[in-house]
Amino acid sequence: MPEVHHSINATIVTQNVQLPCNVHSDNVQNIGNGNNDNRHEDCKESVFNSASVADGSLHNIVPFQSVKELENRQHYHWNYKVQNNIGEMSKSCNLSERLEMLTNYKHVEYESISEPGLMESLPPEVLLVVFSHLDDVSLWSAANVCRRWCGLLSTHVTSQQWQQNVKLRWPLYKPIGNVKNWYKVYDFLASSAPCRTCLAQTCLRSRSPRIQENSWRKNRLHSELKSLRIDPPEGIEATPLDQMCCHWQATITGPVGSPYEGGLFYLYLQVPCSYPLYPPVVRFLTKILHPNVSRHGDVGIDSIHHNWSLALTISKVLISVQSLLTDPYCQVCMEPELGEMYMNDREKFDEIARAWTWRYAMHDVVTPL
Amino acid sequence: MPNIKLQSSDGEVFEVDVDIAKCSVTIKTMLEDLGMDEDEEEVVPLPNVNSAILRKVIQWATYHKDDPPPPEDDENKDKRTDDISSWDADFLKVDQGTLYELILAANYLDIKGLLEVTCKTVANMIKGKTPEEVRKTFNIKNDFSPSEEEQVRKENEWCEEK
Repeated sequence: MPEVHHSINATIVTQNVQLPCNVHSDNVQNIGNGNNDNRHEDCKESVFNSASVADGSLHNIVPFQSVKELENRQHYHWNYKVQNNIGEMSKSCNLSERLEMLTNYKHVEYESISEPGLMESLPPEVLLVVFSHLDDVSLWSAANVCRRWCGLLSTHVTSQQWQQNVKLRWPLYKPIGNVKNWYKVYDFLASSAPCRTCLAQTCLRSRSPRIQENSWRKNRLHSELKSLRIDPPEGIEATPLDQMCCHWQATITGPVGSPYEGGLFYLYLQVPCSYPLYPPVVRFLTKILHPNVSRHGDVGIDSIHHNWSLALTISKVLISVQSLLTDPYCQVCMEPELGEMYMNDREKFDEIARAWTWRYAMHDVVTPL
Repeated sequence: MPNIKLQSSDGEVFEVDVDIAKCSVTIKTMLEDLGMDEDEEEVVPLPNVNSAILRKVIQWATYHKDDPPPPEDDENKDKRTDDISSWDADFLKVDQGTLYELILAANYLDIKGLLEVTCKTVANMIKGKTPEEVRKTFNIKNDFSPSEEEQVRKENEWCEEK
């Protein structure tokens, strides 16, 4: 497997900071930046009333408030570093740490302990009781903590259960051939997701949001769904995850000729109650190296932000995301550094993007399951 | 109400209502097996539980003595962990060492309700965390081989500071 070896000194933070402010000014044209606060306010106020979803949008809002505090920081570590002292959080955080913390909620509530590994050494039957209370994403985390937990989980959580979990999280996943170890499939899919919280959100269908659905939204989604089923656009699939069609999962195949060729990319869509007056939120659930997709998976195309139009549909949005893969828009980027690389060193960009596609988006081909 | 005496590992003797003590299946069977007469002044030794923990366990059992017995079947148990009562949540605001001892005691004494709620508390400490955070939380050593780790680290190298 090709390895991604390039590293760049990051000045991206300062560039990113400017963007959310620009978004609000009207003279900026064709903004491909999804980080605008506007959208998040939309989400918060008019989209979902149910508390569960409000959590989700809150989780979106915060990073970009914190961005302002970070303007002066030139460098950052992408890898998350755990804060030892909760009280000093604001002091030592840079953007990626913050993002990481926000994408993994509930970080700082623990106090560290001196005795090593007490909980690790709990008897197996007790640990299994603990694990029985975990959702699949946390269970997957637990399996990656240490060898003992991994072994315990692999003998007590059956492949069938992982298969169910895969079905639950990635309803669009279709295995090629016979899968022997569903945990590996789950592991692969989950580790290729950029954000754990977004991944956890895709399962919200279990709770039915109590929203008043207007007939416009209902009819519109009904006909969209019908045409998606009867005549889906090439290389695109989409399915709602809940009855009210608030949460969707979609897949896009990497366009031929692009560095994403051969990859299958999962996306998560959140369709607001006010749809089609307001656009859906679109996010990648598969890591992808692209100037217009943030490291968090947010897609920056104008049509799902300030240039939303009633004429657009979910499938049209997905088609424009797909064509974005062929032609990145580098004037305004979610990841300016990648935009620069795309413009100035296409060969290198293609190489890394292809390596990412291989690593994260080729679920069946690369890993022997 | 008849009382029985429970002796902790460090020798302290607690006098407890029999009905409360019997929420521990271990003690219950012990009493039945031994045919202990409730009037007898015999002391039940609990060599695996120290006095601090035994005191907590008795406190918990006293509060929960009128609870309905927990449902037996494990099959349709849901994964909720947000249903810990506020009393229990307060009761379990303890350091990890104590929580750990409580879990072991609940397991040894076979008190289903206490085991359930303590395990839920631990589950809550795991939920939503990355493996690295879980390790930090519980001070667990990462014993996966470096190559496995390396792979994870390499993922984001394009934007890593060098």
